[in-house]
Amino acid sequence: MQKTSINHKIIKQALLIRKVEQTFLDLFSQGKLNGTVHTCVGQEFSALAFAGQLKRSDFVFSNHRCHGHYIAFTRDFKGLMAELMGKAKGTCGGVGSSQHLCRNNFYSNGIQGGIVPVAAGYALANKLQGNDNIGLVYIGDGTLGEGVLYETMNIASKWSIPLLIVCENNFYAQSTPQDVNLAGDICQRAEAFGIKTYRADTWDPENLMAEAKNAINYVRESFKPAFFLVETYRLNAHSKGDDDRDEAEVEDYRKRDFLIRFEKESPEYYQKYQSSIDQEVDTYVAEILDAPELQLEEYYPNVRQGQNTNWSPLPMVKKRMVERLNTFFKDTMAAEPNTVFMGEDVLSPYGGAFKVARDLSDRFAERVFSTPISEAAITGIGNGLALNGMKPYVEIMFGDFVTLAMDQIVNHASKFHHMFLHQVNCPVVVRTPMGGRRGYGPTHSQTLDKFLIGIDNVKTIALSPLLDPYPVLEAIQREEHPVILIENKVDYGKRIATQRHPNFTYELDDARYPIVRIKPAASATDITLVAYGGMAELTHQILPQIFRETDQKPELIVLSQISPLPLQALLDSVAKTQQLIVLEEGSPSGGVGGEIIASVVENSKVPIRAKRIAALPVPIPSVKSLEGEVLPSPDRIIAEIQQWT
Amino acid sequence: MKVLQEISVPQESVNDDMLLVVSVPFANGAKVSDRDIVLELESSKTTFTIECETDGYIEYLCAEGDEVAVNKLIIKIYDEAPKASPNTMAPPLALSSNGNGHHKEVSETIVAKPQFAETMFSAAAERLIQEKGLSQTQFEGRDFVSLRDVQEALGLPAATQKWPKNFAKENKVSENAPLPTLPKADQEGIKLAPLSSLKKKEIQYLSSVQSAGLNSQVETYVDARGILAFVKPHFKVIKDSFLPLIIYEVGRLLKQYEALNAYFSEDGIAYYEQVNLGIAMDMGKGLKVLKVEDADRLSLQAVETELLSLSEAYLEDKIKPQQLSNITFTITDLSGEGVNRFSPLINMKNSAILGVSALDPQLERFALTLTFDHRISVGKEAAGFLSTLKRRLESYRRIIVPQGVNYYDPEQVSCYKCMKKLSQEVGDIGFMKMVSKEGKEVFICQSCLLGH
Repeated sequence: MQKTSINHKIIKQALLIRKVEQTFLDLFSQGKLNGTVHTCVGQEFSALAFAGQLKRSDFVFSNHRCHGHYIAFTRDFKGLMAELMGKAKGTCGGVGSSQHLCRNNFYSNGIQGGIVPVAAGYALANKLQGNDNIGLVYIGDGTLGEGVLYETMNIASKWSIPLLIVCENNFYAQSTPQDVNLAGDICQRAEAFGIKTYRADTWDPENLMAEAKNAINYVRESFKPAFFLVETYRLNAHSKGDDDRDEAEVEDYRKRDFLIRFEKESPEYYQKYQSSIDQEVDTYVAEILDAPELQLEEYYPNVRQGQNTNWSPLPMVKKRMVERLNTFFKDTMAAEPNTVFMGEDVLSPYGGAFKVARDLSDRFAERVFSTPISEAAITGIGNGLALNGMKPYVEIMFGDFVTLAMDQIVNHASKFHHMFLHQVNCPVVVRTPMGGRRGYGPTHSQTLDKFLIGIDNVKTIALSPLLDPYPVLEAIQREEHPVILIENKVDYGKRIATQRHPNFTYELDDARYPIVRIKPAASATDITLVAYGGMAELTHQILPQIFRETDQKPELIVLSQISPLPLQALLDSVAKTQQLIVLEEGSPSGGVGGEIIASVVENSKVPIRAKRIAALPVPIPSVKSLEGEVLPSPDRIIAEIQQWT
Repeated sequence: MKVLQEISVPQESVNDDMLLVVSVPFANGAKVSDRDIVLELESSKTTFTIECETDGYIEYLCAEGDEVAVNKLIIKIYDEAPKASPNTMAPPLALSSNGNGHHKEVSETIVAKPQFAETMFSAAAERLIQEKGLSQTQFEGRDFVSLRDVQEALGLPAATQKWPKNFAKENKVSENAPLPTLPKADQEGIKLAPLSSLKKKEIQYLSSVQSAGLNSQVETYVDARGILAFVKPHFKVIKDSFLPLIIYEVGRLLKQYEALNAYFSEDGIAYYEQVNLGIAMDMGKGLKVLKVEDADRLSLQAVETELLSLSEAYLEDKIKPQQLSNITFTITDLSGEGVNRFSPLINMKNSAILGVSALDPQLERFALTLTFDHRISVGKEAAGFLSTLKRRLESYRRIIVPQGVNYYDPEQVSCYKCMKKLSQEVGDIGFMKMVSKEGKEVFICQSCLLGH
């Protein structure tokens, strides 16, 4: 073995990582770890070369095999050990455990590929904030199968995002050898996007450390992304007991492993370092074995909000919805420099498919991003921007496309705050227009709100022309957690609460996301109608006909927050009417209406009859007559109420 | 400016020297016309309105919510509009209610005129207005007029409440509801036992209808000869009781006699849409009335199955609350107890109950007694129900061959003229057996017999 000039400090850190991993495996065998572990024995120098050579103000995103990266970047092996042992003093209180870690600019998540755009967003925020901090994201060769990786590489290259993507190629995706699943060349994938690539391996740590430093310097100095392929080999199973690799192959790599060689070559140093590390780690494990676990109220305080409702007259704004939205963004982006607007086709003069972004890119060129058609990546970039102090508004051009962004909403934005034990917030806003009645057909007319409610820690707000969107957006701007904002295509051109029926009173409550209530001015109400989004104005329009044809004096409650649901106004209304009809533009099964009814029924003190009026459960046809029949039409609404009452 | 009329608080009852101003329909200074309702007052007994007797401009010397003394001057009507005073207040848009349900009902019928220039009528309300020869102007000033509003104005019982308001409250009988005034127990010569809560509840349920004292009864005998012989092969277990047949027939008949499938409520007569028969059972574990839901839609076999599962639930103490609720008509069967006749008591939120007495072994008949709420129904109607029921039950015996061993199969027997099968006959008579012109024994249906 040729003499290496590698610093013994680095060797000690590598030995520490290996010791911690071996200890996890021992603890797992003893039943002292809940869940599972993915160890990086054999891959330690990849952690030290990249995460270990960053500044503290840089950042690291990692994946399921993140322990080494964590120790190399944070030097906090104790927080990691306590975390995996499920202790309250763990880095995330034991919530995240092996795959979900967070401390001082270190983040990991267990979804393959999903962290890459988040890391890109985090890096973009650094660039927008004008500092020279960079970051890196570790992926494995298995992650090369995820499409969002390529969406992000495209954007990172195009927008010059200072992010180093480190691909740890250990030749196996869990148990599957690489040649089964991987086509073509790894580095050429990055090169195709114009990204500079590097290569090294963990069997020559000295070269790896040097090349890693070069790549880090390149990213920091050029403000461009780079891709680094590290060849390495894990000497243990993917997780536990799932190793079908050829023993001879593993043995061959063991012989090449630097630390094993070091043990043979410099036994005195090795023994000296190892025994000191053993003692430090073993002592700590013994010390925290009986340490307390997190209490539920520390994890989920479940604060109940007050329920007093004060009603005031509903203001009228003689502007169109789209003008008010556009004005909000112009005002807010001018006043609050952390506000970022992104979406497809949002640049001037086009200004987005529905013109919400009109003129924004002229005024705030550096903070308005017209994106490729990459819903998953741009939502992920929004998440990263939000984690790093920005207020991003991500526009998904049609609500139908929001399904492409669901991983980012459900597995990332929704989870960060709690899974990282309240250390971070992710105040991303995802805006998207839903609704039909424009003949756009099955994939551009849907109301998919049902998939956007009930997501933990995410508020879902739906606009309607009965309520000025400006103060609603002002409230969203102040939110510390993710918000999904549902707009409506046909409502963009409508003026706000200007058309009113005589004999009804129009009121709104004082909630952050107000409820609009339209009820008979003097008579008692017979029936409670609840609508939101595109159904709100349509239902409002036909209130007189509903009364005329059904003989029921109606009260219409228009929700703006549809998840979590505000219930008090609904409960107050049904206490009088005992009849509840929810009108929604999506199909009924498993939908918003069902959730509203269930929530009201389980909280109501009086028995209630309830009904959903919704779209038929088929794709929305383009042809006008059929579209009108599939979506709830005035005639159908009245007929259904008539039949039901 | 001349005063045309002065209105003082009238003495409505000897008990009240103060009255509450419930609503002030006009703004001070507003123009009023002769016969306009200008004030609504509430006494301890009732809410009433005051009309003015002249056209003019009104000034109120009281406000909504004030307590005003009898004889106090409260309204002046002038010949011209008074000058605007800074204290002049428009009445609030929505009329107040003080949480008293009755009060609220009334205040809704009298609405501030100036606010709603165009009253909206429901189509149903318009039809009734037209039908009764009313004028829409009668409802001038209201925001919305529904069918119920017109019915109230006409003094008709309000529209059927499909989902009774305060449903839960009405169904829940308070354990502590006071019992009627009763004699004190003697100090000696008696053994005193407290009333069980079950008995208390029973008293409360029964008092609900009986306390009105307006119940009446009709009774008839059913000729039972041969009925069981027909019925037996149709049932698996209950082969010696008329009850399944009675449930089956009553269920269907009640669709025609809505007044017996209803109850008298504070808001008017509430007609049930469903027919849920309550079967009073006492098999040693206390009197319970168990529900046979939608009895009008059950087949004979389904009635038997339902009865068996209810008695099983009763005996195993597995009765669910929903099996005891929403009963629209009750049947009580004491035929097993050997009584000739008895007087059943109407259950809460019912308007009638049918009592089934024991079979008289000599005369082969049994009595049916119907107690009904005379506030809802009348004797003629109740009698019609009972006699139809009797005929229907007796119709089962007529399809028996006099020799009495074999039965005609309803699938095989058909009318010799129209070929209709006996099983398709919807009437309650059955087919006649006759001799045809050819001298053959044939069957003929009622319609063909009558030459229709």
